[in-house]
Amino acid sequence: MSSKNLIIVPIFNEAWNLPLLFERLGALKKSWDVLYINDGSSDSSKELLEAQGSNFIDLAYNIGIGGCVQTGLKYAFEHEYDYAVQLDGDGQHPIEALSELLEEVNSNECDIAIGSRFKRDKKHPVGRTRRLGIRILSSTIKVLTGQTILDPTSGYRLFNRKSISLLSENYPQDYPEPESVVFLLKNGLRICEVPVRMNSREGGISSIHRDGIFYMAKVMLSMIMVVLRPKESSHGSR
Amino acid sequence: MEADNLVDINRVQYIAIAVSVVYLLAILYLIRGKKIREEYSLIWLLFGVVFIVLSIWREGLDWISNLLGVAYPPTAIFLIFFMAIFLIMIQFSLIISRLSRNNSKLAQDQALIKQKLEQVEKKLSEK
Repeated sequence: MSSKNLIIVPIFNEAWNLPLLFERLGALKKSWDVLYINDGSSDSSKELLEAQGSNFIDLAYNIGIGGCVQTGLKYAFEHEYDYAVQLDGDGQHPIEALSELLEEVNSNECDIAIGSRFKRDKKHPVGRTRRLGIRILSSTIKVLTGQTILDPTSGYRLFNRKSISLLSENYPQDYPEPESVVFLLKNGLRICEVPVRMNSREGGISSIHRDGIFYMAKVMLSMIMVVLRPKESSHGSR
Repeated sequence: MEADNLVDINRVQYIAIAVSVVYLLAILYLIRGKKIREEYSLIWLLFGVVFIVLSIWREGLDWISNLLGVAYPPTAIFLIFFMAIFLIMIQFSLIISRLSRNNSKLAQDQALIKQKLEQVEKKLSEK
Protein backbone atom coordinates (compact mmCIF):
# COMPACT_ATOMS: atom_id res chain seq x y z
CA MET A 1 0.00 0.00 0.00
CA SER A 2 1.56 3.24 -1.03
CA SER A 3 0.26 6.71 -0.37
CA LYS A 4 -0.02 9.64 -2.73
CA ASN A 5 2.51 12.25 -1.66
CA LEU A 6 3.01 15.76 -2.91
CA ILE A 7 5.90 18.14 -2.42
CA ILE A 8 4.78 21.75 -2.64
CA VAL A 9 7.64 24.05 -3.61
CA PRO A 10 6.84 27.75 -3.34
CA ILE A 11 8.99 29.72 -5.77
CA PHE A 12 9.56 33.44 -5.56
CA ASN A 13 12.56 34.73 -7.52
CA GLU A 14 14.45 31.50 -7.02
CA ALA A 15 16.09 31.24 -10.46
CA TRP A 16 19.57 31.21 -8.95
CA ASN A 17 18.75 28.04 -7.02
CA LEU A 18 16.37 26.24 -9.38
CA PRO A 19 18.91 24.14 -11.33
CA LEU A 20 20.24 22.72 -8.05
CA LEU A 21 16.69 22.16 -6.83
CA PHE A 22 15.71 20.30 -10.03
CA GLU A 23 18.73 18.07 -9.61
CA ARG A 24 17.98 17.29 -5.97
CA LEU A 25 14.27 16.71 -6.46
CA GLY A 26 14.89 14.76 -9.64
CA ALA A 27 16.87 12.22 -7.64
CA LEU A 28 13.87 11.51 -5.40
CA LYS A 29 12.00 8.26 -5.45
CA LYS A 30 8.88 8.00 -7.57
CA SER A 31 6.65 8.01 -4.52
CA TRP A 32 6.81 11.81 -4.36
CA ASP A 33 5.14 14.13 -6.86
CA VAL A 34 6.60 17.61 -7.08
CA LEU A 35 4.49 20.71 -7.63
CA TYR A 36 6.21 24.05 -8.02
CA ILE A 37 4.21 27.19 -7.40
CA ASN A 38 5.55 30.32 -8.98
CA ASP A 39 4.40 33.22 -6.84
CA GLY A 40 4.69 35.92 -9.49
CA SER A 41 8.49 35.82 -9.73
CA SER A 42 10.03 38.71 -11.62
CA ASP A 43 13.20 36.80 -12.52
CA SER A 44 13.51 33.88 -14.94
CA SER A 45 12.00 31.31 -12.53
CA LYS A 46 8.97 30.73 -14.74
CA GLU A 47 11.05 30.19 -17.88
CA LEU A 48 13.28 27.72 -16.02
CA LEU A 49 10.24 25.80 -14.79
CA GLU A 50 8.83 25.68 -18.32
CA ALA A 51 12.13 24.58 -19.83
CA GLN A 52 12.45 21.83 -17.23
CA GLY A 53 8.95 20.62 -18.12
CA SER A 54 8.06 20.46 -14.44
CA ASN A 55 4.54 20.43 -13.11
CA PHE A 56 3.95 23.93 -11.88
CA ILE A 57 1.25 26.39 -11.03
CA ASP A 58 1.79 29.95 -12.14
CA LEU A 59 0.18 32.65 -10.02
CA ALA A 60 -0.60 35.75 -12.07
CA TYR A 61 1.00 38.02 -9.49
CA ASN A 62 2.73 37.80 -6.14
CA ILE A 63 0.26 36.91 -3.38
CA GLY A 64 2.74 36.07 -0.62
CA ILE A 65 3.96 32.82 0.91
CA GLY A 66 0.68 32.01 2.70
CA GLY A 67 -1.51 32.22 -0.37
CA CYS A 68 1.17 30.50 -2.41
CA VAL A 69 1.37 27.45 -0.14
CA GLN A 70 -2.41 27.40 0.17
CA THR A 71 -2.63 27.09 -3.61
CA GLY A 72 -0.55 23.93 -3.31
CA LEU A 73 -2.78 22.63 -0.53
CA LYS A 74 -5.86 23.27 -2.64
CA TYR A 75 -4.21 21.33 -5.46
CA ALA A 76 -3.34 18.52 -3.05
CA PHE A 77 -6.90 18.42 -1.77
CA GLU A 78 -8.43 18.43 -5.21
CA HIS A 79 -6.08 15.74 -6.52
CA GLU A 80 -6.68 13.57 -3.47
CA TYR A 81 -3.18 13.43 -2.10
CA ASP A 82 -2.74 11.65 1.21
CA TYR A 83 0.21 13.79 2.25
CA ALA A 84 1.57 17.15 1.23
CA VAL A 85 4.78 18.74 2.39
CA GLN A 86 6.02 22.29 1.97
CA LEU A 87 9.61 22.45 0.81
CA ASP A 88 11.06 25.91 0.36
CA GLY A 89 12.75 26.67 -2.93
CA ASP A 90 15.75 28.35 -1.32
CA GLY A 91 17.37 25.05 -0.41
CA GLN A 92 16.96 25.48 3.34
CA HIS A 93 14.86 22.39 3.86
CA PRO A 94 16.87 19.17 3.61
CA ILE A 95 15.25 16.75 1.17
CA GLU A 96 16.71 13.77 3.04
CA ALA A 97 14.35 14.46 5.94
CA LEU A 98 11.21 13.93 3.84
CA SER A 99 10.86 10.27 4.67
CA GLU A 100 11.41 10.98 8.36
CA LEU A 101 8.54 13.45 8.35
CA LEU A 102 6.32 10.95 6.59
CA GLU A 103 7.30 8.19 8.95
CA GLU A 104 6.61 10.38 11.98
CA VAL A 105 3.08 11.14 10.81
CA ASN A 106 2.47 7.47 10.10
CA SER A 107 3.94 5.95 13.22
CA ASN A 108 3.13 8.62 15.78
CA GLU A 109 -0.46 9.15 14.74
CA CYS A 110 -0.18 12.87 14.26
CA ASP A 111 -1.70 15.01 11.54
CA ILE A 112 1.22 17.33 10.94
CA ALA A 113 4.97 16.78 11.23
CA ILE A 114 7.13 19.86 11.57
CA GLY A 115 10.79 19.72 10.63
CA SER A 116 12.16 21.33 13.76
CA ARG A 117 15.47 23.09 14.22
CA PHE A 118 15.51 22.59 17.95
CA LYS A 119 14.61 19.09 18.89
CA ARG A 120 17.92 17.30 18.56
CA ASP A 121 20.80 19.61 19.13
CA LYS A 122 20.39 22.73 21.16
CA LYS A 123 23.41 24.24 19.48
CA HIS A 124 21.77 24.70 16.14
CA PRO A 125 23.06 27.65 14.15
CA VAL A 126 20.16 29.99 14.71
CA GLY A 127 20.86 33.67 15.28
CA ARG A 128 20.35 35.14 18.73
CA THR A 129 17.44 37.45 17.80
CA ARG A 130 15.68 34.76 15.84
CA ARG A 131 16.08 32.29 18.69
CA LEU A 132 14.61 34.81 21.11
CA GLY A 133 11.71 35.47 18.74
CA ILE A 134 11.01 31.76 18.36
CA ARG A 135 11.16 31.27 22.13
CA ILE A 136 8.59 34.03 22.65
CA LEU A 137 6.31 32.53 20.00
CA SER A 138 6.73 29.06 21.43
CA SER A 139 5.83 30.19 24.97
CA THR A 140 2.84 32.10 23.65
CA ILE A 141 1.60 28.98 21.88
CA LYS A 142 2.09 27.05 25.12
CA VAL A 143 -0.08 29.57 26.96
CA LEU A 144 -2.72 29.72 24.22
CA THR A 145 -3.03 26.01 23.49
CA GLY A 146 -1.26 24.22 26.35
CA GLN A 147 1.00 22.44 23.89
CA THR A 148 4.70 22.70 23.28
CA ILE A 149 5.89 23.39 19.77
CA LEU A 150 9.59 24.10 19.82
CA ASP A 151 9.89 25.49 16.30
CA PRO A 152 6.62 27.12 15.27
CA THR A 153 8.32 29.23 12.59
CA SER A 154 9.50 26.28 10.53
CA GLY A 155 7.93 26.16 7.09
CA TYR A 156 9.09 22.58 6.56
CA ARG A 157 5.87 20.79 7.39
CA LEU A 158 4.12 17.67 6.25
CA PHE A 159 0.33 17.58 6.32
CA ASN A 160 -1.97 14.57 6.21
CA ARG A 161 -5.29 14.49 4.40
CA LYS A 162 -7.21 15.88 7.35
CA SER A 163 -4.97 18.91 7.77
CA ILE A 164 -4.79 19.48 3.99
CA SER A 165 -8.56 19.61 3.92
CA LEU A 166 -8.72 22.10 6.79
CA LEU A 167 -5.89 24.36 5.60
CA SER A 168 -6.88 24.44 1.94
CA GLU A 169 -9.96 26.35 3.08
CA ASN A 170 -8.32 28.45 5.74
CA TYR A 171 -4.68 29.41 5.64
CA PRO A 172 -3.09 32.61 6.97
CA GLN A 173 -1.72 34.91 4.29
CA ASP A 174 1.29 36.64 5.85
CA TYR A 175 3.87 35.01 8.12
CA PRO A 176 1.60 31.95 8.20
CA GLU A 177 3.58 29.38 10.19
CA PRO A 178 2.99 30.16 13.90
CA GLU A 179 -0.58 31.24 13.26
CA SER A 180 -1.39 28.06 11.40
CA VAL A 181 0.14 26.01 14.23
CA VAL A 182 -2.31 27.62 16.68
CA PHE A 183 -5.15 27.19 14.19
CA LEU A 184 -4.42 23.49 13.76
CA LEU A 185 -4.06 22.83 17.49
CA LYS A 186 -7.24 24.79 18.22
CA ASN A 187 -9.10 22.60 15.76
CA GLY A 188 -7.91 19.46 17.48
CA LEU A 189 -5.22 18.32 15.08
CA ARG A 190 -2.06 16.77 16.43
CA ILE A 191 1.37 18.13 15.63
CA CYS A 192 4.65 16.30 16.05
CA GLU A 193 8.11 17.70 15.60
CA VAL A 194 10.95 15.91 13.90
CA PRO A 195 14.51 17.09 14.46
CA VAL A 196 15.89 18.33 11.18
CA ARG A 197 19.21 19.87 10.34
CA MET A 198 18.32 22.83 8.15
CA ASN A 199 20.77 23.87 5.49
CA SER A 200 22.10 27.35 5.83
CA ARG A 201 20.23 29.63 3.50
CA GLU A 202 21.78 29.81 0.12
CA GLY A 203 20.17 33.19 -0.35
CA GLY A 204 17.45 35.48 0.95
CA ILE A 205 16.72 36.26 4.57
CA SER A 206 13.99 35.08 6.91
CA SER A 207 10.95 37.28 7.40
CA ILE A 208 11.41 37.21 11.18
CA HIS A 209 14.75 38.94 10.64
CA ARG A 210 13.69 41.29 7.91
CA ASP A 211 10.53 42.53 9.59
CA GLY A 212 11.54 42.09 13.24
CA ILE A 213 9.11 43.82 15.57
CA PHE A 214 6.38 44.04 12.94
CA TYR A 215 6.62 40.29 12.35
CA MET A 216 6.31 39.56 16.06
CA ALA A 217 3.43 41.97 16.60
CA LYS A 218 1.47 40.69 13.62
CA VAL A 219 2.03 37.04 14.48
CA MET A 220 1.19 37.49 18.18
CA LEU A 221 -2.04 39.31 17.32
CA SER A 222 -2.99 36.69 14.74
CA MET A 223 -2.37 33.83 17.16
CA ILE A 224 -4.51 35.41 19.86
CA MET A 225 -7.27 36.09 17.34
CA VAL A 226 -7.23 32.47 16.18
CA VAL A 227 -7.89 31.38 19.75
CA LEU A 228 -10.73 33.88 20.10
CA ARG A 229 -12.45 32.77 16.89
CA PRO A 230 -14.89 29.87 16.92
CA LYS A 231 -13.63 26.47 15.81
CA GLU A 232 -14.11 25.39 12.24
CA SER A 233 -17.21 23.24 12.48
CA SER A 234 -16.24 21.02 9.58
CA HIS A 235 -14.45 21.20 6.29
CA GLY A 236 -15.73 23.84 3.93
CA SER A 237 -17.81 25.86 6.34
CA ARG A 238 -16.83 29.46 6.88
CA MET B 1 -6.14 94.97 17.01
CA GLU B 2 -7.90 97.57 14.98
CA ALA B 3 -7.14 95.74 11.76
CA ASP B 4 -8.91 92.66 13.14
CA ASN B 5 -12.07 94.60 13.69
CA LEU B 6 -12.08 95.59 10.05
CA VAL B 7 -12.28 91.97 8.90
CA ASP B 8 -15.74 91.07 7.71
CA ILE B 9 -16.77 88.37 10.16
CA ASN B 10 -19.21 86.99 7.63
CA ARG B 11 -16.48 86.31 5.11
CA VAL B 12 -15.41 83.00 6.67
CA GLN B 13 -19.01 81.90 6.62
CA TYR B 14 -19.37 82.64 2.90
CA ILE B 15 -16.15 80.79 2.19
CA ALA B 16 -17.23 77.82 4.30
CA ILE B 17 -20.57 77.59 2.52
CA ALA B 18 -18.95 77.91 -0.91
CA VAL B 19 -16.31 75.27 -0.17
CA SER B 20 -18.90 72.86 1.27
CA VAL B 21 -21.14 73.26 -1.76
CA VAL B 22 -18.26 72.75 -4.20
CA TYR B 23 -17.17 69.72 -2.20
CA LEU B 24 -20.66 68.23 -2.25
CA LEU B 25 -21.02 68.87 -5.99
CA ALA B 26 -17.62 67.29 -6.61
CA ILE B 27 -18.68 64.13 -4.78
CA LEU B 28 -21.97 64.01 -6.71
CA TYR B 29 -20.05 64.50 -9.96
CA LEU B 30 -17.77 61.59 -9.11
CA ILE B 31 -20.75 59.35 -8.34
CA ARG B 32 -22.45 60.39 -11.57
CA GLY B 33 -19.31 59.47 -13.50
CA LYS B 34 -19.21 56.10 -11.65
CA LYS B 35 -15.80 56.95 -10.18
CA ILE B 36 -17.09 56.23 -6.68
CA ARG B 37 -19.69 53.62 -5.96
CA GLU B 38 -22.77 54.89 -4.19
CA GLU B 39 -22.29 52.74 -1.10
CA TYR B 40 -18.79 54.13 -0.51
CA SER B 41 -19.81 57.73 -1.16
CA LEU B 42 -22.63 57.89 1.38
CA ILE B 43 -20.29 58.72 4.23
CA TRP B 44 -18.65 61.52 2.19
CA LEU B 45 -22.05 62.97 1.29
CA LEU B 46 -23.13 62.80 4.91
CA PHE B 47 -20.16 64.87 6.00
CA GLY B 48 -20.70 67.28 3.13
CA VAL B 49 -24.22 67.91 4.41
CA VAL B 50 -22.92 68.32 7.96
CA PHE B 51 -20.37 70.90 6.73
CA ILE B 52 -23.03 72.91 4.91
CA VAL B 53 -25.43 72.85 7.83
CA LEU B 54 -22.71 73.97 10.21
CA SER B 55 -21.51 76.75 7.93
CA ILE B 56 -25.02 78.18 7.46
CA TRP B 57 -26.33 77.66 10.96
CA ARG B 58 -23.66 79.37 13.06
CA GLU B 59 -25.43 78.94 16.36
CA GLY B 60 -25.46 75.24 15.63
CA LEU B 61 -21.75 75.05 16.23
CA ASP B 62 -22.12 76.85 19.56
CA TRP B 63 -24.92 74.50 20.46
CA ILE B 64 -22.86 71.41 19.61
CA SER B 65 -19.76 72.63 21.41
CA ASN B 66 -21.92 73.36 24.41
CA LEU B 67 -23.34 69.87 24.20
CA LEU B 68 -19.87 68.33 23.96
CA GLY B 69 -18.53 70.58 26.72
CA VAL B 70 -16.03 72.21 24.39
CA ALA B 71 -15.19 75.75 25.53
CA TYR B 72 -13.94 77.05 22.19
CA PRO B 73 -16.47 76.27 19.39
CA PRO B 74 -13.97 75.88 16.50
CA THR B 75 -12.41 72.98 18.43
CA ALA B 76 -15.71 71.17 18.03
CA ILE B 77 -15.19 71.33 14.27
CA PHE B 78 -11.84 69.60 14.61
CA LEU B 79 -13.34 67.01 16.91
CA ILE B 80 -16.11 66.18 14.45
CA PHE B 81 -13.62 66.22 11.61
CA PHE B 82 -11.27 63.77 13.34
CA MET B 83 -14.12 61.41 14.14
CA ALA B 84 -15.23 61.52 10.53
CA ILE B 85 -11.72 60.77 9.25
CA PHE B 86 -11.41 57.90 11.71
CA LEU B 87 -14.65 56.29 10.59
CA ILE B 88 -13.73 56.62 6.97
CA MET B 89 -10.25 55.20 7.50
CA ILE B 90 -11.65 52.17 9.33
CA GLN B 91 -14.09 51.64 6.50
CA PHE B 92 -11.15 51.78 4.07
CA SER B 93 -9.25 49.16 6.06
CA LEU B 94 -12.29 46.91 5.91
CA ILE B 95 -12.61 47.34 2.18
CA ILE B 96 -8.89 46.86 1.53
CA SER B 97 -8.84 43.69 3.64
CA ARG B 98 -11.78 42.26 1.75
CA LEU B 99 -10.29 43.20 -1.60
CA SER B 100 -6.93 41.62 -0.85
CA ARG B 101 -8.61 38.46 0.37
CA ASN B 102 -10.71 38.25 -2.78
CA ASN B 103 -7.70 39.14 -4.87
CA SER B 104 -5.52 36.30 -3.67
CA LYS B 105 -8.38 33.82 -3.90
CA LEU B 106 -8.90 34.89 -7.48
CA ALA B 107 -5.21 34.45 -8.30
CA GLN B 108 -5.22 31.00 -6.71
CA ASP B 109 -8.29 29.78 -8.56
CA GLN B 110 -7.13 31.24 -11.85
CA ALA B 111 -3.69 29.61 -11.51
CA LEU B 112 -5.19 26.23 -10.59
CA ILE B 113 -7.56 26.35 -13.56
CA LYS B 114 -4.75 27.39 -15.91
CA GLN B 115 -2.67 24.42 -14.78
CA LYS B 116 -5.61 22.06 -15.21
CA LEU B 117 -6.32 23.42 -18.68
CA GLU B 118 -2.69 22.93 -19.71
CA GLN B 119 -2.79 19.32 -18.47
CA VAL B 120 -5.98 18.66 -20.42
CA GLU B 121 -4.54 20.22 -23.58
CA LYS B 122 -1.39 18.15 -23.22
CA LYS B 123 -3.42 14.96 -22.86
CA LEU B 124 -5.53 15.83 -25.89
CA SER B 125 -2.53 16.50 -28.11
CA GLU B 126 -0.99 13.17 -27.10
CA LYS B 127 -3.97 11.29 -28.45
